[in-house]
Amino acid sequence: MKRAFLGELEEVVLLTVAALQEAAYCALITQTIDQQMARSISFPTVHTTLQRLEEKGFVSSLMGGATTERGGRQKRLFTVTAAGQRALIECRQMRSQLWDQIPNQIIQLWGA
Amino acid sequence: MGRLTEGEGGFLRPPRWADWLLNHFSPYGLEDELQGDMLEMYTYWVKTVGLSRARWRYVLAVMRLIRPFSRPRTKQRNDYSHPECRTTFILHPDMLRNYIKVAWRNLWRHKLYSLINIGGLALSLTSSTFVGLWVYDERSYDTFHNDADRIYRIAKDFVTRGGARTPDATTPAALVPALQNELPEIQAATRLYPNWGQKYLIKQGDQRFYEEGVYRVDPNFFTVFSFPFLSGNAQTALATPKSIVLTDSAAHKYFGNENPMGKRLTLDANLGDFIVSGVLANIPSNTHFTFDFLIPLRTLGPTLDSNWKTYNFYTYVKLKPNANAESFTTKVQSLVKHHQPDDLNQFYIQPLTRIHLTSKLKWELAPNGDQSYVRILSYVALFVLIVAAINYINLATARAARRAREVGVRKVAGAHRQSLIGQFLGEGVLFALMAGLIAIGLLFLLLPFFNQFVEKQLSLSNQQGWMVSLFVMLLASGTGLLAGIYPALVLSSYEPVQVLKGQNLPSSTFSRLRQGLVTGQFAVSAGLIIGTIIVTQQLHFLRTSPLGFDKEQVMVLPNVGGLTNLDALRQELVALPGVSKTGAASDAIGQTNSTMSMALKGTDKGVTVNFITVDNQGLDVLGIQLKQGRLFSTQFPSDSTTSLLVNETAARHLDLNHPLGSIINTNLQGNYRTVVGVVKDFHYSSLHQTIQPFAFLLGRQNLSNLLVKLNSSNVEATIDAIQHKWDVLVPGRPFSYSFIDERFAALHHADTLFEHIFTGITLIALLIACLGLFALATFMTERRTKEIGVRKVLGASELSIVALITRDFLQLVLLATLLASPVAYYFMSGWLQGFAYKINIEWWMFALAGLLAMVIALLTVSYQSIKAALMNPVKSLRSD
Repeated sequence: MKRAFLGELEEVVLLTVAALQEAAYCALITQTIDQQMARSISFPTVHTTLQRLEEKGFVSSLMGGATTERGGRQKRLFTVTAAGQRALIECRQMRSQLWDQIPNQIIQLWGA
Repeated sequence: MGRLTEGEGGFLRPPRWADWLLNHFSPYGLEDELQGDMLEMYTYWVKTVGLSRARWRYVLAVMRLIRPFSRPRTKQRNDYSHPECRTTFILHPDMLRNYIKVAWRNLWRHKLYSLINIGGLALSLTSSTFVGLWVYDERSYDTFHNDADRIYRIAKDFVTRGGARTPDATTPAALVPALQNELPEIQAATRLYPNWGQKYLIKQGDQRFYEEGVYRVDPNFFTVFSFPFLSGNAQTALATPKSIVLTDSAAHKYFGNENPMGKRLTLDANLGDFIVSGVLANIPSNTHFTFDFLIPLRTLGPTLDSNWKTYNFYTYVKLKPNANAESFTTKVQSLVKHHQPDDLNQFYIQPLTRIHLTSKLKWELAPNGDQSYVRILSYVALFVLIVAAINYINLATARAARRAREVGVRKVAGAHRQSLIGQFLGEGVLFALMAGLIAIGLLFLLLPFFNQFVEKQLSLSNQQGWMVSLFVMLLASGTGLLAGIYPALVLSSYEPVQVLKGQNLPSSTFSRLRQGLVTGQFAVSAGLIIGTIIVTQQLHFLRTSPLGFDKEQVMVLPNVGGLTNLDALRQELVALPGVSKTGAASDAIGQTNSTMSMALKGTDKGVTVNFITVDNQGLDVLGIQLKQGRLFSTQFPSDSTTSLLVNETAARHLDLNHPLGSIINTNLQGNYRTVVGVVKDFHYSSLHQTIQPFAFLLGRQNLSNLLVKLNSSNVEATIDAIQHKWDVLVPGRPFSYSFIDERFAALHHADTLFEHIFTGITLIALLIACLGLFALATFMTERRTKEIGVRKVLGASELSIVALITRDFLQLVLLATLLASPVAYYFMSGWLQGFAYKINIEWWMFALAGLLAMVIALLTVSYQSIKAALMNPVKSLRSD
């Protein structure tokens, strides 16, 4: 089977879902990305990305409890599936592979 | 759903319209989470980027989220909302059984509602179907003939040199041979010569009867008309000059159960013996002419085919397929012009099937129906159906609250909205079908009574019965479906949480709808009441308006023409105690009269004048009133050849400035007579027609009717005495008689029938509306029991409570009357257009109708409202 490709945006969203653990739902994910990555991805974009991830089987969702702050409405809570975990790890391995190929002194030169 | 904004500061509210969009157009199953998320996002944006940008972002985001811009890509979109619901099957047999069980329980639990609902619908279906049958029958006249659409009657406008036109159904005998020879479109053309008021004495052994239904026809009569034969056949039936065709009932009358074929019938002495050559099935009632015997036209003499002058015949033609009827009319006209250059009459054709409802010419073979009656009654039948359907909707919505919990439980158990809609629609149709079954039963049961009522012979045998039953069932299920839609949609939309908590049912829209429906129902009823008042008034007017002569106790004895001992008979009759005087006349007043063209001497402006010939006593017996001059008198022996009496209208139309002494050319052929008197206008025909020029001639010939003025309190005995004298003095002729006032009543027979049907159906509509109102009032007071209890505890009087409940309904009824009045005015003034002499529609008729509707509504509601007002508040309040 063809390896599921994880786009950059998808990776960011999936990482955020992983980071937020039990509390990952669309609004919070958008806000987290907005705050922590200083990058304004619009809410509908995140929403569709999450749907796509679920379609690909990287996340699963269930309806969570209602809170008063959102007018008593339910949330859809996302968790990373085993496939999602694998995809993230793979992604990270590939990157570190590339990172590893950059000589140390150059990295130092960049001031990292 | 106002929860988004509750408890938040005003500035935290996202743009309302965007919110609405999101609410209504979210992808399926995602409404809740999206709204919650978006609300959080909005709060976040307000904090981070400020109010105006937050609003902007909110709107943009909504735009991208809503349909059709965003669609769930997955095929299993339902997995988002109800993961396990797809498995229920709406028409599962178990569910169907459950639906029927619940419907049945509801039916029994609310017996009153069910009775009113189903009974009302059944009643209205029955009455509308009866009216429908009547309408169908009226419209079906003459359609049973093969190729009825290609059969036409040729008629003409009788035109005088003065330009006066009289539409007239008669044509000359020479027309048919000319048509057959010259116009290729014609497949067959045939002539019909009715009895023209003559009665034929027909003998067979000991059986002898006077018969009116003897028509003389061309041998090819049966190629145009397809009356079915029981014995004999269409080709040979009238082939020989001495053959006679009779109907089944006539055959039984003369021959009993014997086979009449080849037997002998003797007609009046001068016609001789005829041999029965065919027996027809009885003539259906929906023909524009009816007969019992047919004999060949040749019996009238050999010179017919060239006679263009005598308009005594009816001409029917069957055109070839694809013949153009319009061009045929012009050809007929030019053909007549070619043969008779001096003839001013305008010939035209009438489709056979339209004759009964639209023709109304002079000399129709039988009284015609009326298009406007058919139309009005069709609408009335429709209205009655609407009233019953409104009842159904009303009661179903009123009961909706009781079913709300059921809906809640079903939804909690996983019912789809579709299945609930299906359930309620199905229930509506089920009840309506029960009503349909009852209606069909009633139809078959009541048909004989209805036939008697409208004087028709409608039948529901075999095929027709099946068709009608099918029609009723279709109508019923249609009504049920229509009436069930609203309750089904509303009931199925309930939120289970709301209805199961048992509070705040959305009832305000209900009651407004109900008010609207009740108003509509009473508008129909009020309109029908107005119609009934106007029809009744007009009929009363017809019966009571003075005719201008004395129609009471004037007996007409026909068949005295050529009687040698007439004078002796008259003397004997006058000697009887109950008889005051006798007179003789050529025709009795109260039927179609003969006409002649007359003109003032020295002018050639011909005027069509109706006339009858009388003897010296005739006008006295009829009580004709003189305006100026004198009546005919024995003191002026020359009256019989030189004198003329005219009515006021004739004097006006003939331009007689000084009528007395004017000399009139009475037949435009040089028969001059002098006007010796002018009589006051009188109604010699129905009040549908304006009074036309009329003249009296004095004569001794053609006096075939004896007028006998009675002066008796015991009419029966006098008639017996007269018959006794007749039988002694005129042994050869059967005794028959009629009364002038009855003849006039017969002229308005169709109007009287219309009055009966209209009144009957109005009563039924009122009854149904009242049933509905009663059930509704029951329901409303039931719902307001606690309110009334509280009011009474706080000191309200019984009267004020009755007023409280009644007032609402009365307002609706008042509004309904206001709405119905213009519509009723429109239809009824249209109906009155058909009368030359009519009542004015006055305001009090509408006021009376409104008052009646109010009183009826009041009586209906009062039982419930008084019951509610008298109830002990302890009872109604204790339960809480």
